[in-house]
Amino acid sequence: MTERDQPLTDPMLDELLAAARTDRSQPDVAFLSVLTDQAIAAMPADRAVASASATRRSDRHRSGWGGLLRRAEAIAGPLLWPTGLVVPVLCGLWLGAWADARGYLDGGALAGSDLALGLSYHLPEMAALVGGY
Amino acid sequence: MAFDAGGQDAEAALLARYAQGDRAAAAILVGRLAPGALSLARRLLGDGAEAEDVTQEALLRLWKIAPDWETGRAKVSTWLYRVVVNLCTDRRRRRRPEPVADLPEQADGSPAPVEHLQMQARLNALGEALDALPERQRLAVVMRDIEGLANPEIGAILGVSVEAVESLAARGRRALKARLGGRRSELGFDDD
Repeated sequence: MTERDQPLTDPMLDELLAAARTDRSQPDVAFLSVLTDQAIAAMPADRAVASASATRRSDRHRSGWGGLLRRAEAIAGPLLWPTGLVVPVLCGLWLGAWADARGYLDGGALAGSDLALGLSYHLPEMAALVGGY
Repeated sequence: MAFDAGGQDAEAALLARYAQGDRAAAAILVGRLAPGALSLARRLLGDGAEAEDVTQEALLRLWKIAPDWETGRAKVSTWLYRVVVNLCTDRRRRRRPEPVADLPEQADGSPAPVEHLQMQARLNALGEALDALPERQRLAVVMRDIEGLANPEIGAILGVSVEAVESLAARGRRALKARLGGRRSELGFDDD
């Protein structure tokens, strides 16, 4: 086998790759400084200006009412949806039980109830009032 | 390894601080991320100026998405490497083939030491052989065997499995050995 046909061995290739690894140059300080300036320039202006005072302010306010309110908001926030669903269901159940106890769920009782009597008396009266008689 | 693997949470936290307008976080992030990104871009492009352009572009993209960064989505450095790799790939596709540069001379014109010339010849030969590899094999070998990244991170950057990374790197190494085999004497391996 000639040299041309013979591949490098693994240790030879590793030696070349190791040489490449040592060839790693670090970025110069000026370039890093440019990158940092670009990073700061890319910040939303209001945030960049507000950041210093906000850091100081947040420490002061963390224990005050603002912090308490934010904490309560953070705790209550995830509960809003379930609460919004559960409350109407419970209201419906309570209303149903109340109507059942008063006998409004039974047709005959409903017709003879004070509510039905009141409606049967007042509705024609209101209709007459609206109709101008 | 180019980036501290344990520092991923720290980098995400720094990015969150940056998004809140913390200038110190910007400087720290540049110090942590730029050297690795620049080094990778240099390896992939073989051109310092272009590599700096790519590093700047990749970091600008990072600053832009910082307010929307979701912690736990990916490592910041992995995300940045992926952008660097994509930008370098785009640039290489647009490039015209260039003649290989001559070996550099000493500044004072005197002959360079033999060891230095040998080292330079090895680096040039390796660079040429890497350039001739299929794109993904080249990326896998550069990131794993030169930049020292771990296989899972390379997989995340390239969007392939760890097994695929191993296979790409193994095929890349095999191709490099075959391609460089004919240059043993030039590379100083004739005594081996």
